[in-house]
Amino acid sequence: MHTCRSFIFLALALLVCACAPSSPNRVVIYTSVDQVFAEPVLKDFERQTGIQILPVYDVEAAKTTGLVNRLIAEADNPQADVFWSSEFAQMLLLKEKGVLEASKPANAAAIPAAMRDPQGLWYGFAGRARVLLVNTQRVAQGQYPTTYAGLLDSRFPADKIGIANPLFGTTSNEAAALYAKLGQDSARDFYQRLRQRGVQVLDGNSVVRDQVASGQIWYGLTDTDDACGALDKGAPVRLVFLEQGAGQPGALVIPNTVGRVKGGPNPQTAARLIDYLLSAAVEEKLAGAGFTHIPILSRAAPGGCLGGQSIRPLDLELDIIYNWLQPAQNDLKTIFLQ
Amino acid sequence: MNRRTGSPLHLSRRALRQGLGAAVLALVLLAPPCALVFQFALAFANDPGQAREIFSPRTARLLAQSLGEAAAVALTGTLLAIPAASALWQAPGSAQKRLRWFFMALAPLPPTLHALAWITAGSWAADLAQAAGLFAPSLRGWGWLIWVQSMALAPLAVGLTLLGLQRLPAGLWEAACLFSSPWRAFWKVAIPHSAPYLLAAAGLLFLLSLTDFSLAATFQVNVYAFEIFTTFSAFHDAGRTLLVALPLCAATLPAALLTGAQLRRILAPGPAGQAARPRFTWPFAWEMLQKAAILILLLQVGVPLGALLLTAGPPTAFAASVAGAGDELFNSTRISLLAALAGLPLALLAAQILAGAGRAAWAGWLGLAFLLALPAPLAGAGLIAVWNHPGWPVYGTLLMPLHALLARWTPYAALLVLAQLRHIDPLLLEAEQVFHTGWLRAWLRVRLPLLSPGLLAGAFLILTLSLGELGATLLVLPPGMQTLAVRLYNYLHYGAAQQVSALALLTALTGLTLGLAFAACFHWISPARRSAP
Repeated sequence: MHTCRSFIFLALALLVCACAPSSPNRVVIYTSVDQVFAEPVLKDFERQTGIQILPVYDVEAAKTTGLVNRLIAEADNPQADVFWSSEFAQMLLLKEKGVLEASKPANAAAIPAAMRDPQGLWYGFAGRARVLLVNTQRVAQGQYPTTYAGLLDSRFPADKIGIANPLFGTTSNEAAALYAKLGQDSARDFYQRLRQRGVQVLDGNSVVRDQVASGQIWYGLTDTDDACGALDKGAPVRLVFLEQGAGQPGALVIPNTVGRVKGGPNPQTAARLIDYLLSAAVEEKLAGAGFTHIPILSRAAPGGCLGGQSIRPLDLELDIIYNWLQPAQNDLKTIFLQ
Repeated sequence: MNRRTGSPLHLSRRALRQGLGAAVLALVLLAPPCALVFQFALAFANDPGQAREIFSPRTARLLAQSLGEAAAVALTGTLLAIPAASALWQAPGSAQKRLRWFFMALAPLPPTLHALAWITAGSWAADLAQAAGLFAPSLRGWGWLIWVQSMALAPLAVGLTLLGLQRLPAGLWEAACLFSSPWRAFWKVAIPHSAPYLLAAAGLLFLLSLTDFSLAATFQVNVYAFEIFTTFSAFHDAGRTLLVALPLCAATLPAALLTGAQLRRILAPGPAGQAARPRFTWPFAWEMLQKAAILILLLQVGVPLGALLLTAGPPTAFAASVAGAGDELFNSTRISLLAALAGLPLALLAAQILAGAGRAAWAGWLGLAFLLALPAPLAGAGLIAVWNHPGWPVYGTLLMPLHALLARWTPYAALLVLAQLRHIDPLLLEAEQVFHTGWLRAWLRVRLPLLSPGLLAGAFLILTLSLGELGATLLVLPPGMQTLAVRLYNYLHYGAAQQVSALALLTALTGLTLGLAFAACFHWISPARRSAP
């Protein structure tokens, strides 16, 4: 067993080389926002304040659940100071699990009440919306669904309609919103019929975007950042917001959310970072990068590729949508994971 | 027994060392799943009824589908490996080496990128077919999943089979050829002699396919591993997720045990000597099969490489993408290399336990099956449960992703090292025990050269799998540190095909360079080199 001795030497060597340098003037942020959008924003903060940012990014492959599970697992010995989520459901889950603590950002009053937690555990900013992306080379003007029920219409071929897996990410938020709006039976019936029609269930919103852009499918439900990305690259696509007619409920707007992690090691720098993220300048920067198009802090009109459009947002509290997430997932798991 | 190995004092010291080794192994490999088992016990005690909710005809069907898919991948890989490896076996030494590394070139790429490349190529082919008025098949379903998974894992199957053939003793081959044709000798002697390697390859392909969920959604089918992932995603409860994972663990146990039993039965210690270098003409039909297998292997590299090169843009764009990923390249290289190095003694310790007899060996095999079936995010959650306590120094350092890689890939390396261990003549080890004048000298002069092929294969396996690992490292990467795989997946979501291709090529190049460096090191210490004039 000479391996034992060599192993002990190796372990000691590894311990020595693994020692991490530490800096008192730093802040640790976990974020599920795409690195390409989050990194420039965080670098600007670093330049402006001199505070070292130590980020941990999530990836689409983990369906933005990797960091949330990490935060829950680290609850007894938190490593992160701030969590910046690209949507709201994961932040509400962290609130439910007791992972967040209240903060009072300088700009809190500018945020609409519907977009922040009454106890100050999280704040929303810089919104995206759910949208139907349509390939204009395959589909004539006006020949597309304008409501969710329209996706069940036989005029629109099912194998040319794509959605991301409704168990994950913003598509799961959208499903919860439909459950909240339609009621459990109607919403379950909608998804069952969607599945029975043979609508394509793809591996993420970005895949929906790519397949619509390439014409493999003609219609796809995705987020405005993905849709605008395709448009900016010159793809033959059009953005159609569903449920915008009179008496219809409106489109789901998904804000970015930020919250302070309870017991995080750097509370002072965390507060400064949250103040910075909840600023109109960051909203503008994210809009300029093509990530978000619906300002929440400035309450201005949608920008970027949505410039000039008016979008009627879904009139539902985020808390109510979140409360429907679990029942919706239980149903959808049975419907879609066969 | 001699003076050194027979005294009671020596025996107690040996038992102490063995106990210490087992403790280190348990800490590194078994502590994370044990922490999960503890959480699971708590969750189950609080709500025993959840088992009824979790196990249903639907999940049973999913498990059956997954087992079928994994078996199909193992079969496809093995059927491809036999003709391909037999063709490479006869190739001249230099050509064989070049081809071997060429076929291994894309091994470090995660299966998702293979899928992306095949879908891209398939779309181009479908467009051409449609333009020509031909039928263009849909790029989804079980067939495509099995094909792409088999292509992603083919280098492993071919590499192991070739290793088995290359270890055929020349004397055995020549004796077989005295009594029958080389063709018959190939099937009656060479293939049975390589059976452990073939079985190990089939077992590894089966296990890797069974536990992978990343491709199934791409081809719009569902597998049991995805069920585990969705449970973790929906409930954020590691205990409940472990309960869901138990049937998969149970399914992997027979596969791991069967592979091990075959290894024990067939891999009897063999005489050391020169390896066979056969030169004969294969039957025409077999030669055609060999050419088809080599063509598929060329496609296995060519299609992804072509798709990546075509989308990577001009060299300046590639250089810019690489320059922007300098930190990630450094981090990935560093932890993959450390994992490959630190994994070797662990794999050797594990292999020594598995090679033994009695309860310890059985416990070892049970633990191995459990580790092989443990989904990546659960391994990460288990690591957090073990190390994340106030005042403990390990958490938040480089040691965490390193531990994640070791926990995930050491069991696979242990299987390869076990195969090598079984092949060593015990008389040589006994001679070393009698004559050695120091453990380091004995290690470097006797044991390391004897073990080097298995260790090289194990290190290369850990290295390549580590470069693409995401699920566990994502949960334990220290803040401010990122790997190539994380950056690559971020760009993948963003739709930046050029950067994705550049990073994928960089990953492949890194894996190949590190693999070649490993091979050079082992060649340098091999007995063949030292005995050369």
